Amino acid sequence: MTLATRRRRNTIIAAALAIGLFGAHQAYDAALYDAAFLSGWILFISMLLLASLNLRKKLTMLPIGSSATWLQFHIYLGWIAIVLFGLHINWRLPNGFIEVTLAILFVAVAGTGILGIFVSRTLPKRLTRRGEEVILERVPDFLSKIRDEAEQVVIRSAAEANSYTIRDLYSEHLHSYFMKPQNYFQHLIASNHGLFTLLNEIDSIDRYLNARERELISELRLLVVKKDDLDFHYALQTTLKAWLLVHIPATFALLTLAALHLVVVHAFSGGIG
Amino acid sequence: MDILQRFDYKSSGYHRPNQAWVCGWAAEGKPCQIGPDDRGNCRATFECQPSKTDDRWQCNRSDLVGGKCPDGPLPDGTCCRSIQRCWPVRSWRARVRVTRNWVLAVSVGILLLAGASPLAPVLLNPGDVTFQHSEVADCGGCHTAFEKGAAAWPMAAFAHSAKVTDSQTCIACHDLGENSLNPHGLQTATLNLSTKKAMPQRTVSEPLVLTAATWARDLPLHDNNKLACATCHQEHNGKAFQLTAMSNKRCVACHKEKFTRLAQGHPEFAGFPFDRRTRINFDHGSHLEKHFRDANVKAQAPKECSSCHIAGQVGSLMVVKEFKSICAACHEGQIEGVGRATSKGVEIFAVPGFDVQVLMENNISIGSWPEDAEGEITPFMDLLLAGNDDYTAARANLSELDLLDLTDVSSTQLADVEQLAWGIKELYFELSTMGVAFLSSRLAVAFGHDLNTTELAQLTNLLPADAVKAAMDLWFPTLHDDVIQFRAGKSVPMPSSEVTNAIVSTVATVAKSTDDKIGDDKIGDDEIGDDEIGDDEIGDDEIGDDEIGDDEIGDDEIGDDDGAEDGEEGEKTQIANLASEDWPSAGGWYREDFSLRYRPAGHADVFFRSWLDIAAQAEAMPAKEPATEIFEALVSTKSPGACSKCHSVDEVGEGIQHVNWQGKRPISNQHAFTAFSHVGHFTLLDERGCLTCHSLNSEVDFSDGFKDRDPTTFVSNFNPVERATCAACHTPAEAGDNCVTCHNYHIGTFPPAQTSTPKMMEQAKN
Repeated sequence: MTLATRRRRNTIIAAALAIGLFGAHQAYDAALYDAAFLSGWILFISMLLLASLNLRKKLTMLPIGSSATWLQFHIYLGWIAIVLFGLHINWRLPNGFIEVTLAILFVAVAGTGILGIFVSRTLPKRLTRRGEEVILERVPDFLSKIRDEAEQVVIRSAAEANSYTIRDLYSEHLHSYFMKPQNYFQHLIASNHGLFTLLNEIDSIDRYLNARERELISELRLLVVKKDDLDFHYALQTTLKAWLLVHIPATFALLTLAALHLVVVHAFSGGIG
Repeated sequence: MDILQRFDYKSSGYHRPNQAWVCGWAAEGKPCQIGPDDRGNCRATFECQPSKTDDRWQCNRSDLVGGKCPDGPLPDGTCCRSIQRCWPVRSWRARVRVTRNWVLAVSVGILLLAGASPLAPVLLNPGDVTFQHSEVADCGGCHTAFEKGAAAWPMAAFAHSAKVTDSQTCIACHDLGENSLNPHGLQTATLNLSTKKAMPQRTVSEPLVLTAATWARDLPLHDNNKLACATCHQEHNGKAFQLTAMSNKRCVACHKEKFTRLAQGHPEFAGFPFDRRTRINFDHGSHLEKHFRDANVKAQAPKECSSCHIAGQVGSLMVVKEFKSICAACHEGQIEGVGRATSKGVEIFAVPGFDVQVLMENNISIGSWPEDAEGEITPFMDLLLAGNDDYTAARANLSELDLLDLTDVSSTQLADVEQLAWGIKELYFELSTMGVAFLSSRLAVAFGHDLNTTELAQLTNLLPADAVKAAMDLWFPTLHDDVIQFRAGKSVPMPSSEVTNAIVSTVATVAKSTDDKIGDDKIGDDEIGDDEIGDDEIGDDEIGDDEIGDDEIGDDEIGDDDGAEDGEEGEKTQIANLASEDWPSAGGWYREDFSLRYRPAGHADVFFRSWLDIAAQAEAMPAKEPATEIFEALVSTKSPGACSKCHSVDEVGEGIQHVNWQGKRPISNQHAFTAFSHVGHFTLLDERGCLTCHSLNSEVDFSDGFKDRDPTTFVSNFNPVERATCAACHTPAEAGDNCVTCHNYHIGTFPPAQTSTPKMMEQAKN
């Protein structure tokens, strides 16, 4: 089965389930029940199933399907959960402290989840298309090396070229650039604006350079580009990890408060549900 | 520099992403090889741990950080290069884990605050309640589980024992009757009956969602078919939320016939709004088509519907205006007896006629008895004597006998006649000596309950003592002595005719002012065919031109007056010749020969109404038979007052009647199935006015519906309202066709929500 076929099949199944849930919701309401109880229970169970992906990743020894399959299930069930949530809150902003908190948490979880699908499918391809693939944890190390090299070029320019032009350029524009990863959001949106700005600065002093300086400035230029590639990888890889920093903690908070919400609404239901 | 990342063992160190802490120098790109411990403490010491080979310390720094250093270890074996300590940082995984734990802790904190702190009501409140409920003290005012504490909520959440407990807090203020929680507030049997009755003979394709609803689950009915209040009324949706709003599909959840549109699927308005005959027997057809067009009454006739009808409370009914403003112009005279051929008053007390001759021959001792009396015992007298068992028995024994002809009766029957006579004489004796108090006691026995002052006044309507005395003096001049002797056990023989006549003639002049030849005047059987208004042969005297206003009858010494000695003989003649029933032309008591009668004082006479109301309950009284006879006599079409000409009588129970004195009136706090306001529709009518919805039906015989006392057998002057008439405007886009626009759910009579003041006395004292 091709990827497209599988996606089409899964999408159709998810859409059918969502429509079925919507219909069940309407029928439940027409039968004089508070349909929020139906959607709420299904939503809660869905969230438990969604959260179990984390558990599945830890219990690799159990023969309960591959992580890839679980991930697919997680994604499509997540979409259905969004529909369920909308049905549950009747498509309007909730009131009440607990309810608003739950809504915010759900939006955070669902939002980061959608972001995660997007970034996990787009960013890796972009990473392979540019620069050298590096391990995220080693980026500071590589950054340090590039910075050392750049500083050596500057020192050599002062010693060999008898000019401080490159030194002044470095101290004014490049020193902070080489200190830490830069242009985080520009790399996310595939913008080279920051790099070009810097390169323009470098190219703009070309008329003031002598022959030796031009040689050195070209090395520096390469280091600037190299560093930018490193920044690119740092930005994208950090993003690939950072969304989980919101998605997972928010999920735990959501489940905890959802359990409280579940007990309270049943205890105070007044005989409905 | 071509490649940054190399993976040979000399260039690529091993990262342990599962570890929680990472060396702080990693951010500089120069992490140490030792790394922090699992608590995040820096363990940095030296770059290598020298090893001793042949008494010589060797540097064994890792190739990843440069390999052997040129300086080598110190003589004591210590590495010469110390590592500067760092501040370890968490790894990515650890950051996720820590964040998760913090967020979880905050959530649990919220959970604890929500469950066991004074902030619980604030945290748990899912939204503002409607402003009508905003003064409820706290959550426990409506949610019974709240008071039990957070520990009890899990049990309350999933226990099935008290599903309608919270509803009881609603009912504490919103008391909707005995079956508040039943659908429509009606008992199941009643609903089943209505369903069976209304089950339409048609098929309607119901919306899919409703079919699914029926299939999906049973209705949320709890013990004995009860619905929780929260099923339909959901709070915590904001201050301005409409608690009574309801979608059509939820309304029909319980109904066999499911539809969501007035124009599609709603049953036709079969017979609406008529479910019984009108309480006032008023034929719109004959009045509009004949009577109102009569030249004699055309000027007084109403010109339009609003001349007689006015919107009642909340505009649901178009009630009929008062009699005096709409009916009196034509009908007042009939009630007062204008032009009436028979007696204008009803006979209350009378002297029955006995065959005095036979009684005297048989030495029946009943004292004096007027020989000329030819009347019968009235049902009023039977009622008053109902407690006298001897009388009652004698009455029953003589029921088939003509008391005016006792020729062939047995001695037993004669004894019964004697019993009867003494019962009557004692009745009149006590009436004349004890007055209304006597009537009160006798009526209490007859009705089976005491009467209050108002009831007594209405039922006696201020019977004047003088009228009674005058009657007794005329009928039984020796009544007092006769009864005393009788009660002393002595025989009271009937006096001779001469003696009787002498006594009678003494008081005969009293009767001259009532020169009535009614010898056998009975209720409904009056034969005064000659006495008619307009044909009055008493001089020029006519009702309305009566000069009795100048008469000094109050000072008249009737006992001495022979009518011929007074200098004002012409005026006295007029008074003396005035028919007794014409004297009280405005109603009241009057004596006519051997009877005391009562003439109605116009419309809504208190006496007539009170007797009809109380006699309607005859079935439940000890004196059932005479009460029934009274009722039937007064409600007869021939009765003075002609009450039943317009006021219908309904049989409401086993023999229990009800006289409809008024047309339908809105009952305060009554909630019917259909809620319609006329007022709201007035501005929408065109020149057809009321006839837009209420078209006349000229084909029917309206009187057919009043031939019995069953109010449900009827025909209406008007055609039923058609559904299409309403559906023309009540579309979703215009006036709306929501079920609750026209229908109430809670049926019955109940007041608006009200609270109680159990500590009123304490608060008043403070």
